[in-house]
Amino acid sequence: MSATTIVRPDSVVNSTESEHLSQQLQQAIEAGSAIVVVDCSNVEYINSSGMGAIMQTYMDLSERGGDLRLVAPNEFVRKTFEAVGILSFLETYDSVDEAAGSEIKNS
Amino acid sequence: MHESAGQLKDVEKRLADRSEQLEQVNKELEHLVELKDRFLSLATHDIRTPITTMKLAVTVLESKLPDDVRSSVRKPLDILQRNLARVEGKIEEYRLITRLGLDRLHLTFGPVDLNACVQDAIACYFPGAISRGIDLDAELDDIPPMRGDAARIGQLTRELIESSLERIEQGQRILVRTEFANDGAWIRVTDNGPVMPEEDTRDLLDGLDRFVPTRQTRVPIFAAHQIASAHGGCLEIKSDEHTGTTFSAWLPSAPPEDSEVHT
Repeated sequence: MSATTIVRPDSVVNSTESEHLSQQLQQAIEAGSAIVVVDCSNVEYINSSGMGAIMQTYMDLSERGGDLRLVAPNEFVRKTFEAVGILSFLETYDSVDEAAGSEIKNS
Repeated sequence: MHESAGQLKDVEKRLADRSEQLEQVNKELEHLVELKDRFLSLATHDIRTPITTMKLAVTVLESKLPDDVRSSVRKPLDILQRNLARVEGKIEEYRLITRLGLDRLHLTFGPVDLNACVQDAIACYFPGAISRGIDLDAELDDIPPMRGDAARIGQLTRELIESSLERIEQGQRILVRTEFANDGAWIRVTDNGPVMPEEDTRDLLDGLDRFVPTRQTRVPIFAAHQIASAHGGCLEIKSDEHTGTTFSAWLPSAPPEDSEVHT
């Protein structure tokens, strides 16, 4: 378990796109990725299912000693993650390179 | 005779002074009640977020623990979860109290970014929607700047969302929309829960002027109605098998001056 997977959701993560996102995240876990980087730089909106998929992936990775990282969430996405409480656990990064290059912390 | 007339005038003057004093005290009391209601409304809203974070922290903690450790800390984790649920229940009770005080609603008007209010309100329900497996979505129109009480408009949106949340189950969907129309804006919350019979919709709307908290659905709808009305707006409920059930509130771009309260 060492690979890093980068997932880039569409600009609007609605009902349809959240299923796609969920599949991509699931595939990353099944492929044995230790780090999953979710690049939110193009994401303008994310719905509850999309956020649920990210949270679930974070918990699955945590259980296996891995990590999920968010890159460049916009104000709405950041606020939504804050409201859900997940920003207390997840690290956010300014760029994909920074996120992918950072070591896993044992929080 | 002159002395009696003088005494009478003196009594009248004292009565008028006392009446003025009582009126002043009454105004101050009304203002204090309004401050208490506003505080309760905002405080309960603000306390929800850390509670949500704590609940999530417990879940994350559980997922990180090895199996043998998890079983040994099962009891304290259960206590933590039970007490968080208890605090959540108390918050809901306090929220109900603030809603019951909405019949004497006063607003503090200022510039409003409607979509920002709606987005904040939606974000509050994401944790609940995620844990219940409900799809909570939004489609927001371009809405020009409006005038109103931003905190209450946020509450109005939350009440509409709660009206839908109470009706649906896992796997179902809520869509929150904003639409610019008729020199104002609609906030519409649509769910794909069971269709409401026409008489139920009528009953619900008719009951808004004589609120009796006998049916759970009426609490959020009553609160939404009070806030929309105080802004000079209105409430609408439509339900059919093709489009689902929609709880809508229309708010004018600028509310009538007479509903404005300066504090």
